[in-house]
Amino acid sequence: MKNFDVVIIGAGIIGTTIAWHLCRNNLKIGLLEKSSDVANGATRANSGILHSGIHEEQNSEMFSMCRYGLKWYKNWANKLDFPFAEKSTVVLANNSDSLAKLRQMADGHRTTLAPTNHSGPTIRNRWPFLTQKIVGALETKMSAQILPYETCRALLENSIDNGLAFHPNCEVSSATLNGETWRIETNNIEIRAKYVILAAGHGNNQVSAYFDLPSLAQKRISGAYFMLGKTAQPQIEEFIFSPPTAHSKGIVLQKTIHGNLMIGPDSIPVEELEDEQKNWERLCLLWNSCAEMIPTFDRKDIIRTFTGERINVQNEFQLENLLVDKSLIRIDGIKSPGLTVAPAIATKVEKMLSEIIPLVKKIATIDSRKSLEKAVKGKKPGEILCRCEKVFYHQISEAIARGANNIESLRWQTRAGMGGCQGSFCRPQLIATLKNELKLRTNEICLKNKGSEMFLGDLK
Amino acid sequence: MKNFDFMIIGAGAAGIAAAKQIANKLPQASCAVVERDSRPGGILLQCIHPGFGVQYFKEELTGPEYAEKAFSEIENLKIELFFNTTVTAINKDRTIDCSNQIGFFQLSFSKLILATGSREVPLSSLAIPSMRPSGVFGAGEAQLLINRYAFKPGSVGVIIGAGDIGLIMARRLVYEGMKVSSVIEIQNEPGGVRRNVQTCIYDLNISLRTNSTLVQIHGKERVTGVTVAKVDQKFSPDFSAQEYIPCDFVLSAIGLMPEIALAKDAGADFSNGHLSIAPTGRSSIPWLFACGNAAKIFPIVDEVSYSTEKTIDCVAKADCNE
Repeated sequence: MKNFDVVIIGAGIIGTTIAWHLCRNNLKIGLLEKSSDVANGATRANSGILHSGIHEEQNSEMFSMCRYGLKWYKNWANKLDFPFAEKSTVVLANNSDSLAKLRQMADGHRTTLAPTNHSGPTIRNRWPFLTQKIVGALETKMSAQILPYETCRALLENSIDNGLAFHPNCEVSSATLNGETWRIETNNIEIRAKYVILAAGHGNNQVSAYFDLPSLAQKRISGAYFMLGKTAQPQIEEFIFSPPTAHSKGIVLQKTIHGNLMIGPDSIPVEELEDEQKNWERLCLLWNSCAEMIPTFDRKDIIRTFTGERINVQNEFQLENLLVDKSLIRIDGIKSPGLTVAPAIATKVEKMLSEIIPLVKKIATIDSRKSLEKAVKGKKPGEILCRCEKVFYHQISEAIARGANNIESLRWQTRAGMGGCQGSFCRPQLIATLKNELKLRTNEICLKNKGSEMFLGDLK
Repeated sequence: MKNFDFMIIGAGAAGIAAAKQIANKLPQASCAVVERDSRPGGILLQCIHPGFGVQYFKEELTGPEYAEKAFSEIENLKIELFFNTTVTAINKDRTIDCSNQIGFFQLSFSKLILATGSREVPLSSLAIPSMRPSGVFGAGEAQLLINRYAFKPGSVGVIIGAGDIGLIMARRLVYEGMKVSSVIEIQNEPGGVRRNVQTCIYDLNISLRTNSTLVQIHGKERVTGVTVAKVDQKFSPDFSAQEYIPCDFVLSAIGLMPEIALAKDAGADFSNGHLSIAPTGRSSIPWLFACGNAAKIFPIVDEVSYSTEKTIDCVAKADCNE
């Protein structure tokens, strides 16, 4: 049995930013995550863009939350030791409709985002790889790039230094309110908490039911991405957005912080993907729409294809609606851009709680967290395990010390297996290292969560 | 910094043949071989089936036997061997960065021979819809895990690709007590040699589906099955002829590509995944040469040994200051 003042359910970007904010107060905070690691849902497959807000209405709450988020990440990147890079956003137009839309976007944000409208000759000059069909481009320099997984790790690790209790592999199975305390059963521990924050992403519907909350009209949207090798051409320095549509911000072409070209997402309702043909064709369609913008993309440069999910709801997201009960806060229906607005939401949640219970700021450590890269500096590197990304044994060993107990967590913490060969060389070595260091039996070695065991056992 | 006339990266079949040929042709030259593994042989070490050496050694050997026999010919020659050592970069000033248990160090050279072999084309590069469950392995990766680690990947497997590696792994799985429910091949006949098709497929009654392609991998945490469809002449899947095959693991044997990342980083020209190499083995960098599978993919190891010897004859004569 564990007692907390506040329990947060879900360790994506929303859950970890909230945990980080609350841990700076005199509260006992628990963070429950049903999978084995942070950022295991929508956050992991996020594009890593901190949106300028240029796609939002100028006076909307979403716009000011975007601006707040950008400032917040920039301010904390150094102290929490996660990468942050300022980058331009460029939105393209390919016809008179999208040109008009661009003009409207520019006019709305003239004073806040200092946008520039580019026309034909400038476009050819700056982005010679774009097809001739592109007739306009709107640029703002006021956006930035982070690594969503690494940022969650940073928030988590600093929160743990400030007293957070993190419980991975902990799935809620029921909840009952006894007087003023929630009793929460999970698959491994029993928890008591006065306040509960639901930040379970597309798991929120299921969790809501345990807390007797009405379910949400969630629509699950799948977005696919292609990851290309580091030498893929052309090298793109900005976030290049395809012409905006009614339903999404469009496809983004960008170079990740690690130097891979990443292109996507599309936007397809999950239920449509039960059809094999549709599931196959969407990837062809996505590739074709990217190739329409940049005809010289080479399919042979693809090293991985992946999909993420986001949740669409009918209503516009409003901070005011977060508090659903005096002991329950539910974060849902953000749509997009969740990563960018997470700090604004976390600040709001902290404020809501302060109106219910008196919060006292405590002396928190702010720069205790070191990135894995820095932590291993000066240590003997040992042998190289991943040749593509040049990952050494001491990095793997440090990741295991930080809680990585499966291949995917090792991959995300160290990048072992993220290069051109996608792990065909290093994976057997990672498997052997995990097995030795954690004293696992062969049939206990997992690719990701429980249930993803990689082997039946040893051959006789 | 130690300096060598010839620097060979990799001690697989190509690296060993290169070292031997240099020692034979230029007995006065200094030569070093850098190898990441603890012993020579490279991929041969995990190829425990027979069928190697019939041309080159005039006897049928297993992979490890071939490696041992080839290495025994250079063991006592004046060649410096660095095992457990990975080359992390090739530099323009004719040095290489190395890393091993002890730390980082550099070696310098006059001519560099890339004998780094090949790597598998990863299935994830094909844009096959899946939730990326566990149980999907490269065939070569599975060969290592089964033959060197003795791990059992599952009970019923599907193999993608009926080249020699796919065929040999099908047989290997059956010998180790697993079931192979199907081998999928996109062409209208298997790419492997006839003897392998006979002994690995027909003799073992394994179902071979030609003109077929993988269109989806099912399962969230672990593989539960695959969907396979027939393809038309342009290799596009025909979804009216799709079929679900239950399985708990998938091996992909969709091809090999030269392992040339080091040369790419060094700035050598390449096209279509291959180094641009003259018939002499020379790349666009005058002192950088490639042999064996690093230059082009060979069907059998005997040809790697033969062709490397020929390449080295050219390397020995080449003037690097041209």
